[in-house]
Amino acid sequence: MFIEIEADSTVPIYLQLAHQIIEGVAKGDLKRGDSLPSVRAFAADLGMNMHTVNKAYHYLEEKEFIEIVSKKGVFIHERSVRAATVSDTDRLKKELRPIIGEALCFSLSMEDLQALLTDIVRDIKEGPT
Amino acid sequence: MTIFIFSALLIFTNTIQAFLPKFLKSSESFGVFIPDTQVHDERIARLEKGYTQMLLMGGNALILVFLFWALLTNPKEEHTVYTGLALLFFLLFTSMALYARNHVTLIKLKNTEQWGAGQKERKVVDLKFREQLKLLPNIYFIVPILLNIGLWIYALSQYDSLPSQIPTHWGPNGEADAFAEKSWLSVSALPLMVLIIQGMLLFFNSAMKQSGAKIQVRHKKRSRQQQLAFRKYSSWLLFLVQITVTLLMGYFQLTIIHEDLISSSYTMLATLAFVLIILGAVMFYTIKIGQSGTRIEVHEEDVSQDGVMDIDDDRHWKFGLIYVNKEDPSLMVEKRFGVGWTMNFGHVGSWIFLVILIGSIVLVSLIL
Repeated sequence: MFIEIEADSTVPIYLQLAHQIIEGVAKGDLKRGDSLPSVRAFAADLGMNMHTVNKAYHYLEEKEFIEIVSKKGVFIHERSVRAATVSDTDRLKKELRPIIGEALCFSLSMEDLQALLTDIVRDIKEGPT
Repeated sequence: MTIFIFSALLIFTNTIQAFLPKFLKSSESFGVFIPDTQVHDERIARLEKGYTQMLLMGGNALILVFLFWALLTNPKEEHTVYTGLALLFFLLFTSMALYARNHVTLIKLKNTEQWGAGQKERKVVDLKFREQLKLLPNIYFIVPILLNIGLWIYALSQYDSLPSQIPTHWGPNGEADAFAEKSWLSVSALPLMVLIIQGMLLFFNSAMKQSGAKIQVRHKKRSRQQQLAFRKYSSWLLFLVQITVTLLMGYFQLTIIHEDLISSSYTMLATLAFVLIILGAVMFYTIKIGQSGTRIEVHEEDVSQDGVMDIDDDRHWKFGLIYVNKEDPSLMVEKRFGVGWTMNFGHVGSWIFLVILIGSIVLVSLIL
């Protein structure tokens, strides 16, 4: 699976990495137990600091998308695809809130929002059209 | 005879050097990063053609003049050697000067015309690259090392029966032409030298495993396949050198211990075979594989993509030749102008490696 990082995006690189791995999991390209590159190898492929990769991995570990097993490697978490727990839903709510706020400012209706969501879900699952 | 071999080697290296642009990635020309939208620019093709013609015609003509001069006037041997060396340096210098001129020309062109402007720079990583990478395991390099150490111990165990003069150098006719007084050190000199080379090759093989893959954003599948192949063949080439060096030097070591084994025709045959095997392998590597595997055909099609380009990392390449990037944990990286690998001089590990390598070579030569 390929990951593409945009060098001069406003989104920090570690978040770009994390987001694309999460999308890989959502799409099914990355399955539970699949291994990810070591921090050093990943950073070398990026030609970037190991710190960046570390940050992305810790971000993903905290959300239980990956598991870092010392001396063994980095793996997609057994619970990466799961029924959302209460805390998962709470966090999503909180993180979506400012985006929805913005959408309301742009006077998007409920239907517009729905269409937007459908679009994004399709895009993640089937790739860009 | 020697003059023919020397001229043939000169012509061989000069011709490979002349055609070098043909064995490199199209995304890099004379050490300058070229965006995909520009790789078919005729001016680049013209620069490369000019470089090839200049070296091919000019360089090879000079070598032939040298050969005829040596054959017709029959100069003293030392004169031939010095003229030959001067010619070698002149050829090297000319190709470097041509490189530098084209390098500067391309940078200027790229900047004034703003190549790649409006395209987004993207860096691509294949998460499964390491899993697919098939380098030879380090044990392939460690076994020859053990063999060398075994021979070393054997030589020391036979110390009393060794001749009082230990050969340290062999001439092209296969006979030893330099000697050192017998001592524990002079007996150890050859295996130590071999150990340095073996250690270096082992280091290269393991550093290659950690080297960052350069996947191209517009040719993801193609560049991935080519890189995987390039690294695999690089590892095999290292192994071939490891094996042949161990065998050839092991043979020399054995002839020191058992003088009756010496036969200059065997020695010549072994040396010739060694040179031919290495040259053949290097030719295969350069012409059939090419830098980063560019000469390998890949049948996987890439979806065409507009508006994106690879990251321009010219700023990490001094003169397009020396890679210095403190952020990149890679110790070894693929060369920009040349087929093979170079080191990341922004990494402290590269400097440690160089200090150990040069230090041990100096140490061994001081012992002798």
